[in-house]
Amino acid sequence: MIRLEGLHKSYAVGEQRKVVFDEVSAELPRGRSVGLLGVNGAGKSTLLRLIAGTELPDKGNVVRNGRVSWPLGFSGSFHGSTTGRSNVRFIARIYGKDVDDTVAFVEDFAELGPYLDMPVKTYSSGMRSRLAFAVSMSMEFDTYLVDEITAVGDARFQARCSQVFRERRGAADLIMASHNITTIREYCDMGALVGSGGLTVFDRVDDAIKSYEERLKAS
Amino acid sequence: MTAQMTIGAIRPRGPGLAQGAATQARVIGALVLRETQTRFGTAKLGFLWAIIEPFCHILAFSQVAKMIHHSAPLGSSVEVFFATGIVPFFLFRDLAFHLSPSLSANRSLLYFPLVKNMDVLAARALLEIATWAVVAVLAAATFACFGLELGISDPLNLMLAWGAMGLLGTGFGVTSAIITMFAHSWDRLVHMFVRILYVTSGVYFLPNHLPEAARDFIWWFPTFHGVEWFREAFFPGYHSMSLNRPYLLAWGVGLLLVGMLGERLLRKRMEHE
Repeated sequence: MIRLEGLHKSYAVGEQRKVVFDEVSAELPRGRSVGLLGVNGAGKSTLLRLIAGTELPDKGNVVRNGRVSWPLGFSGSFHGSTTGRSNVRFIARIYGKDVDDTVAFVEDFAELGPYLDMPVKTYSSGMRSRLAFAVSMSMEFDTYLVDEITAVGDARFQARCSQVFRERRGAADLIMASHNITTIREYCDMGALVGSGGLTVFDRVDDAIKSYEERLKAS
Repeated sequence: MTAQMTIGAIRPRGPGLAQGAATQARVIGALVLRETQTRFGTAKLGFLWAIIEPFCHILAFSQVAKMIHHSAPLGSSVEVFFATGIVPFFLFRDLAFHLSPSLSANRSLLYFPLVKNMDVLAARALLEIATWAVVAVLAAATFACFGLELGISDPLNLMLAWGAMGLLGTGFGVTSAIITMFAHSWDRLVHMFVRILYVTSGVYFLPNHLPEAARDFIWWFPTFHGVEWFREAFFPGYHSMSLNRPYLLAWGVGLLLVGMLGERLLRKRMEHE
């Protein structure tokens, strides 16, 4: 369960401050998977970073029950000049996981072969996201934060991702930001609309999608 | 609803103080390992360079001093005299150089919510202090092999001097790292400051040999006191007329507190790229 309490976040845009979230309070319950919808720049990725704790709100709190992942996506969270393997070892260490088990899991899941021992900067974006996805899957989080990850990787890997997510569905929740309505509908049973400083939570994902489409038409 | 703890499950940064400390120790340990690897592992010359560089400085200045017929102001060899200035000063220098850009250049690390700004800084500081301690021991061993007189008079005091210089460098580095996050060009100023301090910290001379006005001027530079402290502990019978230990420690603690307070006040404004 994730609870947002009076969340306020703004950014400096030139001379002005753009308010992304203004006193947002909401609850994303346990056992549900939430799709975040919103136009470009509405604040979907910001919300994921606030939930993860990689970014701090100006005011308010994020209450997390259970283990929450870092926001998975194709933005780089790896050290480019070291190998995939040593990046995996590092992440296993900070999360207090057995290093060898984690590496073995990633070797098997990411299927990077000899590339696991190459510097991450030599990876294609698909390889990078495969590595990121595999590491996070080895961690047994209660809530996974996903930022447009299904947009990358080939069809085979995408199929594996959705298979793993389906297996994990019972134990882990998902909060996913995407522009792709099909993806949201596939993975999520709840929806939330991000935009104009607020967050509107819908109990049914279809209602969120409908509201999102209306907003798109209006703009 | 509480987090289920399964075997091999990840341990979140918990609410308990002890658990928080354990997590922090684990994160810092992982960061030290990673920093060691990126600094000394991938670049083949990594650690060798850390040794070669100070030796080049020591040898070059010793050669010049010998050519203009200077004898060592303290001890019996110019090499050892210069080394007692260069090695502790380079500890300060590398803390300043490596901590200053660490938060602005290492944003990807902070992608993991478990990794806090202070963990990144602490890991780098620990690695730097340990690396330069190894360089110092290797330098002493090398001099001993060449039959140069060392005569370390007070090893415990020498370690305290090392710690004081480490504290000053860490304090300066932490404060700089916070400033660099908001003003990237600050990092360039750091390089300029350090170059000025290299000249004014008594690395190549003793304050007793200076005119009074010059001595009064360099007294203000905290790194000067670090070098003096180190030499006083190193050379038997040397008592520095200028050394003020509380002044040096006040700078170290003060800068560290300013940096930590700055991080606390500004962490909400540190934005993601």
